Amino acid sequence: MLKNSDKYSTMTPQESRVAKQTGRIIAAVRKSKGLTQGSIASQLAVSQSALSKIEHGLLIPSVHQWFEFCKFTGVPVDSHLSGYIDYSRPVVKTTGSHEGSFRLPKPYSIERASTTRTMLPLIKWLERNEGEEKAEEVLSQMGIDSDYFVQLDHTIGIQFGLDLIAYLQRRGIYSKDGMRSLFQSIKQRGFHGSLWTGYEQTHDSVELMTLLLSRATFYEANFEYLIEAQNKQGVDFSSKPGTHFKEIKTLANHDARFSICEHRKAYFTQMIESSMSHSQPIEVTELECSFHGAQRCIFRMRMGAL
Amino acid sequence: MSVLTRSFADYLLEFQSKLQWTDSDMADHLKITGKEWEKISDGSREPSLIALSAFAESLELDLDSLFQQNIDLNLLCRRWHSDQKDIIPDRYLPGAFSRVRTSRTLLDFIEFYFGWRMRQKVLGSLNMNEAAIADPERMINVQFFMDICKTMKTFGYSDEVIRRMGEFSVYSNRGGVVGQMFADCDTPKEVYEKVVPVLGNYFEKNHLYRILSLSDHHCTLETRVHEAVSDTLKVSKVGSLEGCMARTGVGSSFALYAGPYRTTVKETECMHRGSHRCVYHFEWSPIKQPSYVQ
Repeated sequence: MLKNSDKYSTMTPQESRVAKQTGRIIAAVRKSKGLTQGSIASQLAVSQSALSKIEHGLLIPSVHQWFEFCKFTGVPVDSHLSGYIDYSRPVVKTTGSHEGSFRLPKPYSIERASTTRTMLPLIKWLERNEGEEKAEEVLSQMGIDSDYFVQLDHTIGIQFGLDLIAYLQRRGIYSKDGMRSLFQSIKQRGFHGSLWTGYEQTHDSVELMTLLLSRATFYEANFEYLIEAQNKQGVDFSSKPGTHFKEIKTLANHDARFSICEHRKAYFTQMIESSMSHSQPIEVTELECSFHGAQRCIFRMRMGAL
Repeated sequence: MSVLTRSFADYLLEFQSKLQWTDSDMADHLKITGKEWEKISDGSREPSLIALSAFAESLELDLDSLFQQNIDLNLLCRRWHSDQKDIIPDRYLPGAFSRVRTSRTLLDFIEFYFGWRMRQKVLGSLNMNEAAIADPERMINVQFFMDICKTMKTFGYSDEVIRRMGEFSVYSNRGGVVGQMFADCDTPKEVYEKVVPVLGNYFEKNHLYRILSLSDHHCTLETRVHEAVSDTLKVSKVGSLEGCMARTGVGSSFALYAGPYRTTVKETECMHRGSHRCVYHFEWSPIKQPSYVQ
């Protein structure tokens, strides 16, 4: 039985949210697997127009239909709770312009080593400042379907992040001074999937940072992270860039090189500070930089430094 | 065509009947009104996705198992109507020669890397709960260990992840009685000398362990199935290929009790690849860490 609720008139806010989340997931998976609306509709024993309404969040699938869809496509059945698909698998760096029927433009399809979960804070910042429709349009102009970001383990080239940041700067809705605010939505647990709860259970920033580093490959495989030393006050960790960075032509530009490490510092800081219930200020500094002559970047995170 | 032949309304009525709940209890657990439950119970309406998700959360059930109508309802009733929340499913009772700690290690890894929801998902899919594994000394059969490994494989995780699940043993056990046992060991060699004779006491008695050779840098370990176990379980081979991978991880983690060592492991013979025994060759070397911290 479908919950029919054109124009959301008979839906409660909770139902509207679930309708929107399930619809977005179904549309994203259909595209990711290169399936047609007809084939999914037939599997779920609904008409194509009903499936279209489900995808647009105007109908909620029944339990049977949702379960059928999840079994048919391999989507975790609890995905409707967060609105994202999370398989919690480490990144496997790939090159390729297609992911099912999703197509990625060339600059973003080479050496795809960042997960979409890493890019979501940037996209949320875009949506916050430009509105959801405009954000979709921007992504479309960049050659990417916004549904690509529903699956947190999808991969994309780091160039996408650099280009999106450049766009935000050009539009004047972000400046380097406000770098940390760019990642303010990082505390949305949905972006981290099942990884998030582990962060909540840590006791201090050092424990959280080491946990985050141990899970780095669930976020990106552009760098190889290693904890060099730690004590109660902080952690020193290194990151060695992958060989694919040589292929990224824009990195010849000083601003782009600066951008990668500065944004990573901001990402770490925001992640650590916003995940802690007792809010411990931290400071992250870069002691050595692989983009400025060193073999690897070395970061130092200190608690209570502000 | 639905893979389920039975309606959820009927399934929920079975819950109500076995748990002896009132209509009001059911509505509360489903987070719906009494009238809505009335429509479900008379078969004129199916529960919604939202209501069933709330039901799973309320009873701490694995959503996937609930959707598959794969909840062990009799076990749930026994737990619900008694003070014994730690009842183990019958499947894991015969030939209980493993300590719970051995399997809990795997679950600790899952929680550490994939979050508590994943741990609950694995436990729930096996009709187990935290109460059942609260006591690390409790005995359970080897099937539970194997099922955890198999479930993770079903979820798509690689052999390497299965091996690392076993390797997590040291982090799980360092703070407990096992860790205390090695507190005075300065080298991996001392740890292996000490641990192998007591593996049966602290981890499992399904296998007999024997050191074939031991030096300052390596240990070659042989394991054979304990005959009493194969007789009880009525199987010729105990364990599984995945279980063996996890065991290589457990074995290679022992060096870490002595300090920061990196261990490599080669399984040169395996019962699940045609041999009558498993032979593991562990080699370790110390990890030198530069200190940037003043």
